[in-house]
Amino acid sequence: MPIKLTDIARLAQILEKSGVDTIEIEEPGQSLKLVVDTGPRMAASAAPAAPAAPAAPAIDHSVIAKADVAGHFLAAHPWRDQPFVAQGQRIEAGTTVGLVKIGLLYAPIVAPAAGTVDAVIAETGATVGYGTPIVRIRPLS
Amino acid sequence: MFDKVLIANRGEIALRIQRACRAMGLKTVVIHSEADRDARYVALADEALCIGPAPASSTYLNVAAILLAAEVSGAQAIHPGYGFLSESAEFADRVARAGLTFISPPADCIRTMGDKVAAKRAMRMAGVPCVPGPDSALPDDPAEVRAIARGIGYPVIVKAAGGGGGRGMRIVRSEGALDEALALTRAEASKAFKNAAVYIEKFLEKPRHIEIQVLCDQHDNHLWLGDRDCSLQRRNQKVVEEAPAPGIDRALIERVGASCVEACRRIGYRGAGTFEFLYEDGQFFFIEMNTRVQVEHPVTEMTTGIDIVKAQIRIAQGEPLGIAQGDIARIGHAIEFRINAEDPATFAPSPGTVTCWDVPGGIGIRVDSHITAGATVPRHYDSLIGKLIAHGSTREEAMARARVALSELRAEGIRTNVPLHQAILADPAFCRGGYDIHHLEHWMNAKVAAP
Repeated sequence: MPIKLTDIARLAQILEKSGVDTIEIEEPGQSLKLVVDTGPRMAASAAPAAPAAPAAPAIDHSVIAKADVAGHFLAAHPWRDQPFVAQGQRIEAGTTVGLVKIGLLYAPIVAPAAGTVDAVIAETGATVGYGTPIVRIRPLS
Repeated sequence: MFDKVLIANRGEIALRIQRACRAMGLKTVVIHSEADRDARYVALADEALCIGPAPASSTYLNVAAILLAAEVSGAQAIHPGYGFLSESAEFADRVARAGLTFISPPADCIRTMGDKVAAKRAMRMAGVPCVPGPDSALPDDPAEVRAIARGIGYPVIVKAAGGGGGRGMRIVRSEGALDEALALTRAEASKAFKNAAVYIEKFLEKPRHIEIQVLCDQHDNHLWLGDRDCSLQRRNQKVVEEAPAPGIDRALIERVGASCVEACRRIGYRGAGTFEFLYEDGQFFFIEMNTRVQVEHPVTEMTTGIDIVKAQIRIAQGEPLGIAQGDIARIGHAIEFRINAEDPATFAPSPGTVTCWDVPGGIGIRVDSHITAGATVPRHYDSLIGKLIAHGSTREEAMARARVALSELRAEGIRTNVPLHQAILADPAFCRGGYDIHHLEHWMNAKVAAP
């Protein structure tokens, strides 16, 4: 027998009252899955409003320099020992923070914003792809 | 000989190729877009390289990015799968120039078959039956074209030489409408395909779509692996495919298959390919050749026991096929149902997160799908999320197994066309077999009119 709309409405009411958020009913040829969003209502019924301490969420303002081509990451130019950037270094937007080596080609990875280098995330020699995080930068506030 | 293959595709065919490579002991490199980053088959590959953002133009159609990824990964061969760059002669050339093996027919075969007029000429010379009509582009003089059309007999169809997949064609039922149809198709063709050449053919009213699978190696072995019936279509998109085609004289199909093999020999074909035919009133008419592996290749694999993707790779490695035409058995009947993430009634795409994915199994059931629970169906690509293939000793047995399997398949979080397939399996005309290419659309329209 097909499940009727009125049955579904009743089921939803029962779920709401009991605080259960999901029910699944399976019969040959038909299945029903009801998901009730009980969250806000439950909160509303919690009468003594707890004086919620305004937990200041730690918002991460850092920006990430990402690779935009697949290849092998190099933190330093192949002819130099010094890496392009080191932790704590002040850099400008557009500063080269590393290279991606693709065969004989080298493609620069550039800082999207000015700031201080927080960390060089990628390891030299690692295979990176489009969107791989390379350097984390704390922007100037 | 290569031992590392770059898979330049996505979704179920990327997984299908990966499985073949791994079973052959070959290393795999999967390139992917940001949208496919979390797919299970990407994690299963020996190496995965994200080469761009979601749009196919930046990734699966980006020749430079794919060749650079091959360089970075050290892959020596590229498998293009189907769609995307699989039938681009330009890509085939670039792959060869990069010193890599392209697991595909040679660029010149792709080029010839991509030009409808050249393809038809090559087929006619090899004795493959073609649709009545000249195998050359039409002359500019409308009077000459009218004479040609009269020779063929109305209705005729005007087609762009560079078109395909139902695009760039126009049916003409009487001489009065010919001039206008010619002008429109020419204008469209030069705009859409950058090739103003058009040709005309006899228009068939109620044809079936029957195709022949071929495999050719570099040692003069040319085989055909039987036929497939792909007549169940909606807007030129195949929905259900089966092997063999029911109700067609087997001796006739043997002759057509032999002519396909002869054509392959003449054009120096290599790799896997498909000859597509229209079939009406006991006659076959060649329409086009696909120079790649097809979505529906599993029905042929199930009836012949031949791994077509593995064969493609072996051919590219220069290995002989190792089988003769006489060794190819065709056992039982197989039917494939394309599972799409789409609304079963409106066909609107239904991208999203697949929250539950339970796949059927058991004797005669094969599911080729890259989907896992929690997987995302991106909105950027086509909606194919898998294929359910049912094999049985008879067509009836395959259909019975398919009905059980479809009832077991459970996908949540997205909509799928499984209910459409279940309705198709309850349609008496489908169950009889031998339906034409308009059947599905007529049947659906009738259902809407009288629910």
